[in-house]
Amino acid sequence: MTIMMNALKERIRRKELYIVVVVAVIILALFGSDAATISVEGEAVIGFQSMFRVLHVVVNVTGCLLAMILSLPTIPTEYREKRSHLVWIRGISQVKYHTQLTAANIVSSALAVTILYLTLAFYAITQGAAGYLPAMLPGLLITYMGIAIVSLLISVLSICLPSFAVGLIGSICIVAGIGHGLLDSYKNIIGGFSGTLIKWILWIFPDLNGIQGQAANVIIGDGVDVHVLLKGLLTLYIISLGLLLFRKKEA
Amino acid sequence: MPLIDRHIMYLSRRRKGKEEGRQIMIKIANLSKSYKGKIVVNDLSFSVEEKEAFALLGSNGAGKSTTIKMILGLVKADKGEIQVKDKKTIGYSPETPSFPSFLNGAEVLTYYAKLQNIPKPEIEETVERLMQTVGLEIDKTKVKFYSKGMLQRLALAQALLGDPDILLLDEPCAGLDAMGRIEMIELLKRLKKQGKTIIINSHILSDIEKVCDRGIVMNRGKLMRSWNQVDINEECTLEDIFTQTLGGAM
Repeated sequence: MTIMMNALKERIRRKELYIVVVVAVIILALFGSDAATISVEGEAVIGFQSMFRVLHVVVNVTGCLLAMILSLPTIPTEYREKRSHLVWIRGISQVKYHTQLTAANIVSSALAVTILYLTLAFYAITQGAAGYLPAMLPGLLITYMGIAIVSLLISVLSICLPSFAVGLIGSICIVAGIGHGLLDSYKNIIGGFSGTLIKWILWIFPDLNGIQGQAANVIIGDGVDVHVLLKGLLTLYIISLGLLLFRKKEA
Repeated sequence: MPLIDRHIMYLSRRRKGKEEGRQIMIKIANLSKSYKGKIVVNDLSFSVEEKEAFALLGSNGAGKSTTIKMILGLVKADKGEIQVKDKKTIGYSPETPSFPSFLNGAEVLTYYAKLQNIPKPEIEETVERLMQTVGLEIDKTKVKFYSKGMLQRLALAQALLGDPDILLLDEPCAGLDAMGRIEMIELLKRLKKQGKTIIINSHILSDIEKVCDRGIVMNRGKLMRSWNQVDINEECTLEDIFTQTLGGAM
């Protein structure tokens, strides 16, 4: 736990975390008040439940971006600055080292999302919907799953790939993950090579939108598709195997 | 002191060492390493005895740091063998130490002490003692505000955690001012007296001369020559040995 706690303290000190959280809170506050409106397919979103769903998507997207920003440099920096030397020589295995750094990434990303969730809770209270608050805890836990997938994927890939490639794959993962539902609809319409390509993208990249949708469902009281959550857990498990498989040749 | 007397002293020290049952702590045989076809260490062999200070000399790119990293297991050798005596622990001070910048010196040592599984009740006392040993004050100054010299001292302190038998020091005097260097040399002499086996990689030949008993001169990964204290006298300094050895090879 020593490496994890140390890396976590370092992540929490990063200014990017606070900048993105502050910007996201401002956006949420703007759209949560009457100062700005959101339109979906030309129609203004009105009513608590609809607005809450939209704000929940904003929280999830921001959380995924934060997970990528916070997770991307952790492992490469350890090796670039040769801090890894002083860890390796103490007989700490790569698996343990990388796992603890990854855990720090996930926990710091989860902390950022928790701050964003507090804004959602504040929004619910101001809208006279405090009754939804108890369900926000399981909702938050489900949202953590999507955030953990992004953070874990970025951390695992950063063991063996250069940061640029990891950033690119991470961005594609977030875009494809958030737009999963949309891509799924287009897949059948387009057909041919593009359709097959989208099919592969849907198969490779986890359904982040589906997971956040289930979180919102839990809070609002709609039905939850357990299949989506189980797929999310399976994704987490599969990606985490990368921590065992990927090794650095040299410190 | 006449050369013959120095030689007799050296031989008697070696004999004494053998009588004391001084053992080989690190043995390197036919070690080779290359990166993308470029040979960095080429068929290198040497051994380091217990309680001696051994120097790796050579110009930049000679393969000294790579050799140290191979001994530590940070870099895999392509060929050859590295033997470290059973159950002997190694402390390492890197050339460019980088520590978590938000911690202060004592916190950095505490962090590495925990990684090294030093029992909790001993950590505080150990950290205090080591900070004192290397001449650093326990205060709230974060290491990001430390000078290069202070970082070197802290690097040495973390190398001394757990009281290792062997110390591998990569440029321990780099970045230190004159006073700092004198203090560091004195500290290394003290550690040697305490019975530590020390391997130093340094560019500062006058410092090496003061601390080390023996050493090798490397060039482009190859061992060019070995030297010991007998070779050094008023007419022939370590600098002379170094330039004579590398003069033709550089």
